[in-house]
Amino acid sequence: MPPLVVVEELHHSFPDGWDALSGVSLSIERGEFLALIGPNGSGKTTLAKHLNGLLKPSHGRVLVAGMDTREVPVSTLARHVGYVFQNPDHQIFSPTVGEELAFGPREQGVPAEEVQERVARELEAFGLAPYAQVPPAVLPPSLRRKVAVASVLTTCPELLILDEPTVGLDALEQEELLQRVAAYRDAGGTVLLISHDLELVGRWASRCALLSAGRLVALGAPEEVLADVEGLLAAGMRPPALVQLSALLPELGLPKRLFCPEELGLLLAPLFGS
Amino acid sequence: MDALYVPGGSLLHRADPRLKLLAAPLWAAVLLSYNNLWVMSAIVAALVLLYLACGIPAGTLKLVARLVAPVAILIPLLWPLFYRSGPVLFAPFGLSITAWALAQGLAASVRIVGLAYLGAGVLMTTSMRALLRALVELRLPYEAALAVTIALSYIPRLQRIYEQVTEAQLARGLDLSSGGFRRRAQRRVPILVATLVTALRSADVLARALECRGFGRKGVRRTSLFQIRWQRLDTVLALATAAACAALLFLRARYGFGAHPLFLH
Amino acid sequence: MPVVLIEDLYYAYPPLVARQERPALQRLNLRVEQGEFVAVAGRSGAGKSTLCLALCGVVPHSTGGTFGGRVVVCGHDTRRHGPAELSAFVGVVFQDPESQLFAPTVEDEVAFGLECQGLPPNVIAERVSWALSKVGLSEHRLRNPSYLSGGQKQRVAIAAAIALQPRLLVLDEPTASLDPVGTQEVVQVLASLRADQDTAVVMVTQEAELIAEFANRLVILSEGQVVYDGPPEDALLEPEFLWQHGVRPPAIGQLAAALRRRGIPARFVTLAQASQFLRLHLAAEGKACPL
Repeated sequence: MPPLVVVEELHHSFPDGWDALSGVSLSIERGEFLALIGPNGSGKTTLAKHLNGLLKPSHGRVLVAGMDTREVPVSTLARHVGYVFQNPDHQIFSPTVGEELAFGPREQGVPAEEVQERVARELEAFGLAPYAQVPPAVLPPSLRRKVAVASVLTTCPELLILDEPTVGLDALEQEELLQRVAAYRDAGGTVLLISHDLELVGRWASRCALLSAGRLVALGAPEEVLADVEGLLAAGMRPPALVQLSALLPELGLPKRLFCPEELGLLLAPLFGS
Repeated sequence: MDALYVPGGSLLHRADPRLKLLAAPLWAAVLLSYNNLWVMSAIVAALVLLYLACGIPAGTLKLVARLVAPVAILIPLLWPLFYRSGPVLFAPFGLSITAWALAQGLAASVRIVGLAYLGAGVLMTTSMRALLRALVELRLPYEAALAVTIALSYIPRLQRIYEQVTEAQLARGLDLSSGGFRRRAQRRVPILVATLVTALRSADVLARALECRGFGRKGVRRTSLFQIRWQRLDTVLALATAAACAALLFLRARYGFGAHPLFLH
Repeated sequence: MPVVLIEDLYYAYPPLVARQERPALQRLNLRVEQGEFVAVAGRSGAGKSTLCLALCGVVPHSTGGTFGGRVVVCGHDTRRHGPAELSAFVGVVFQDPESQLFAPTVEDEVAFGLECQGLPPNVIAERVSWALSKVGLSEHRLRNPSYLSGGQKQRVAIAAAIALQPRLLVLDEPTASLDPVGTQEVVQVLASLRADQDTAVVMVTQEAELIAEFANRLVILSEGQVVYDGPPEDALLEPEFLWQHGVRPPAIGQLAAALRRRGIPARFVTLAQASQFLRLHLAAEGKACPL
């Protein structure tokens, strides 16, 4: 099966002259959970906005589900790509949570009965059923975040892009959210996650793309990308804590690729033999 | 916030903002009372030369001209169509374009340009901080000045929010390009609502933050970090301006100097 | 005199619909002394932000609702003194750096509170310089705050709060909206504030690293009540407890827990402590991983 997304030699320069992306090439396979990491200004959001046509390439091209983003309007791409923005308040406008969830599929011409089904499903999945008739604007920030994600999932996108979705959520809510996203992925979806939280990325992503100053400098499994201390530092990122720990103690000969506490504990425990 | 302001150290820049705020209307009064094309053109030319001498780039002056151009061009075109006075110059399509009316129209146009440059002159040589401080010193209530400052800081913020919200809604499939005018206007509603709500939330946080910094404290007289001081230079300029304006207004009132668009008497 | 004395606090926001009111805070008792750095954690909706607002008087003066018990800050009862009066003693920094700032220059932003206090202009100028140097933004004095980065904006907000030299500084999730670079910038400011023993700091945060680094006391709220009030280390060593209350246990702490489960008495929570422990017990003996 061809990849869901193909990015070929993508260059993007903004009108004020800033080169946000220089020659980025990558492909996203269906069913992947790709994490896009990199410091602020590295081009993560710029790259993501190319995937639903909000931005068009200065050079190179982007193919999403076989369509060239330069030739297809954003509203068409929106049927295939769901984008959850950083600030949920930028999306929320409806009088009730139910309406908000129904907006996307309705706008795309999905028949009313199916819209109701999808809405009911997402209300259930996010625990929002008690709030179905409540205006989303009066809900606390964490629930608004859930409403925003749910209202994108009701459009049943092939690719789900999440831009820093965990800001403002406590640890349990973050888990809940990522589990829902993982369930979407298991049901056939594809995920692109932009996040600063390297521990989160290490836990959930199947692949990591590291951007630095508009270039793709690393692409691979989290165990490789997140454990490459030099690479991360060169890109302007602080490695995850356990990776830093391994790097601080070279004399122990720890294989640096471990960032999971359980695995590291397993490896260290026998050394306390005496 | 300071859209027209160009920082500098010239005479106009160093002049007390209160002086500028009082001198501009004074000169505006002169322009409004005069009808003479030559006198008013001389004033406008003097203003432009003064600004150039004070380091205002030609580009900024052209910007002001561009802003006022539509009105300035329309007036001399329309004026002769509505007023007739003096010898007829030409008569297309049964209308008669008279010389004095044309001159009148041109004079009115120059007046508008002059008024625009007077106002712009204040904005180009005075930062918003200085302006607001001057207004407060001239007895504008502090709350009003604060409201202006906050409103000005919200303009770019609202614009940013509007753009981000538009992107978020486009990403959900909102179709802004198809359909007739009414449908397209309706489609903007989600964007306007989300922008407004986001802005209101932001305003709420700001209100709390300002309260927590002491805004609204009763029984304490506010002070200001930014001070404006009236200096000897200002007294000199004030006297010079007052004298010039008084002279011009006197000539106009007593001798009818400058009442006619083309002739000085 | 304690900086903060809260006795039997009850607070419920005015209900949105005519349902029963749900209290945001109940039976809350808290005492904070000068020089303490208290971290406040808890799940979303546990009442952390409400507590911050109660400390500066916004609750109940600007929010209405039902208020019971008392909150005394630097000897002032918040029922009788509104936020504007309390601003002389309490400085507050909110979560969103963008929304707190409005002034045309950084200098004006920091000076605002001092102007409201009616201080003479030369004193204001001094305090502004001092506050800006404390947060490391002296060279940005005349810049428009809207052009600054998130971390810089938040530092301006902190400068604006400390310029009043309050005895209590309240920070509501100051790094939650920031990227790692911005978080580091704020962390550095927090470090310099902690060294200053005249102020008490109450910081709401969900980030275990910040708690481990700065707090000498941890308060955890759940459904408006205090469920933990004690040394941070004890709580940070219990990953299950942290999860339950919405704090993601630090990976380092989880490693220590993994080792403890295998009988090794590991009690570290920060990177520094962990490497010290491992060096002490392993490297010293020349132990290394079998290749």
